[in-house]
Amino acid sequence: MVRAASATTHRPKRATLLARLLRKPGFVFGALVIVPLVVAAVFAPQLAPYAPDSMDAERYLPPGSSGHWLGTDNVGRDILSRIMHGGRISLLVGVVVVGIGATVGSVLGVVAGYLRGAVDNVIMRVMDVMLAFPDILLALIVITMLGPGIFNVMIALGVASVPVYTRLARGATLAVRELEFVEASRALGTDSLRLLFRHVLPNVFQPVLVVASLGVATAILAAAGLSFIGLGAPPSTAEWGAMLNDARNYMRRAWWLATMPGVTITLAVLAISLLGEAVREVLDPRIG
Amino acid sequence: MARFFAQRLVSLIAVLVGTATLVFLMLHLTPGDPARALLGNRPVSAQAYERLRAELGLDASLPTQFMKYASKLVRGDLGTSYFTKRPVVEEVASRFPITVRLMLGAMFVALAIGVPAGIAAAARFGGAFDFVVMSLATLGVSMPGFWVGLMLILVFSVQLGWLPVAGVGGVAYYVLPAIALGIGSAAVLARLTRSSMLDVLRTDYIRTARAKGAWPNRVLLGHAFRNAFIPVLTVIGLQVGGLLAGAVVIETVFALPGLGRLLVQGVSSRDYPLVQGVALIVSGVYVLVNFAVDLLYSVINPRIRYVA
Repeated sequence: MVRAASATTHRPKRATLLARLLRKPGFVFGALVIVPLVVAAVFAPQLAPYAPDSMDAERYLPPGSSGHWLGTDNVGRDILSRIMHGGRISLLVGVVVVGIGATVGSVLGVVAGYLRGAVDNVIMRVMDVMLAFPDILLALIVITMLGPGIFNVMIALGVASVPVYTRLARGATLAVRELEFVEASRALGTDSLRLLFRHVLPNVFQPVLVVASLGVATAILAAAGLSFIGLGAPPSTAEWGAMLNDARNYMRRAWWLATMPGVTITLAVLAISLLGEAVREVLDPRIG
Repeated sequence: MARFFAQRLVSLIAVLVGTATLVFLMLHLTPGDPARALLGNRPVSAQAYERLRAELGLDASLPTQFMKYASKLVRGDLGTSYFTKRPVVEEVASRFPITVRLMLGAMFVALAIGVPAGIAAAARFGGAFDFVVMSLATLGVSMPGFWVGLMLILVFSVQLGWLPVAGVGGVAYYVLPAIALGIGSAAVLARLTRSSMLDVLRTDYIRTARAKGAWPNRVLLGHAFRNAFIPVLTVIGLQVGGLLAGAVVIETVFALPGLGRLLVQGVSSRDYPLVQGVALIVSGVYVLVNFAVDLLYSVINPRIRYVA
């Protein structure tokens, strides 16, 4: 009885992950920014005042004009509506890129770390070579193979991010495979595949999640950059990077064309980075 | 040290050989025919198409193509651009100085802003100055460099008329691109310098130096920064990769005819030799800079001595 009471007294109160995150000011600020952006993007067809390509007779209307809060562009398209629709592509890119990188990278890392030996050597040497390329450069090589376009940009950036996740997952796997409960499970005759899925993968998930949450922001920035140089979304598409590319030629006449999409990208990246930092601080016991 | 150097040199060569092989395989093992890309929508006869493939060396088997590519590479021949018909080495050599100038400028901006800001924030840890520096640093890493470039053009070129909008020329042409490219790295370095300084400032030898009455600035810069700079140096090496990648977009914003624009041109036109050549040069520079950073560790901190 005494032992039970003592155990209860000393057990730390384990708040839920969300409750711990909500105590972080950065997480709250990030959520307050990103939630409206995501809602605006997802429900853009219903919420946006205009279709992204519908043209008004009033061109170059400055922000604050009636009916066009963020103004209109060189052909009279509503900038707010284009930013809302653009979010559908730009935010999706971030998620898909991380999805590709984290999934492929984790599988390769877990396989390398668990099997070790020749398989580990081959996988990790390829990853070492891939890491010798700056991200965008690797993505550009993939785009050369596949051709320009937003779908190919997602694949390219996803492939470029694979080595980071592979290294991370391999490191976590090497640590987990030596733990006693895994040894015990192996000694009891559990087969390798079951061990991998049951014990190793769940333990690798957490560090991968931490890096992935920050990776979304990086992917949004990179994809916007590739669209800006004409290798992602085609010109005139309602996508944040492509909107900035379109705006370049009209900056003397209308400053807001380049300002508004840029502020939106900055806000989205800032918010996601703050959310990612908060997730990292809560999940990584070595921090704080 | 000599043995360590030799070991690192061997692994450096292995990585460079690996990058050359990976670039070749990635570009040759995937769908997409450069001959078709070169012809565009022009209707041509089957013979003309085959002739073009033979001209480009694409009719040979993959191992033959690789052997040819590798033997040329060893002689410093990066091939001939499909589009400009000029040797890739010449194309790269004419563009390389522009990118190097841009990167040196960006690195100067990053170091001149990031490191002092990080040191000052650490010295005033927890105060208003620290909060402002860290908030600006968080904002700095969130802003796309190419957008910062557009905003700089809007203010300093279009509105104030102080600096040229774009193009290539004297130092004035590099000021805005260097700021646009370096500002993100400055933010990263400020955050890292601060955190590294805070780690060092909590150590015993700093407490001893303070207890002995050493001047605060001497403790901060003479004692603490020397050790705090080692992780910062690692990140400076890694930032070179970020700057090389950023140069691709920034050169487009400011119409600088550097390696980045050459690469984009190659990617858009599926000019395989050009992409291959630029990718090899860029990754080579990146790997070499990080190799140099590794060697610099022991110079900065004599306590580090490499054991092979």
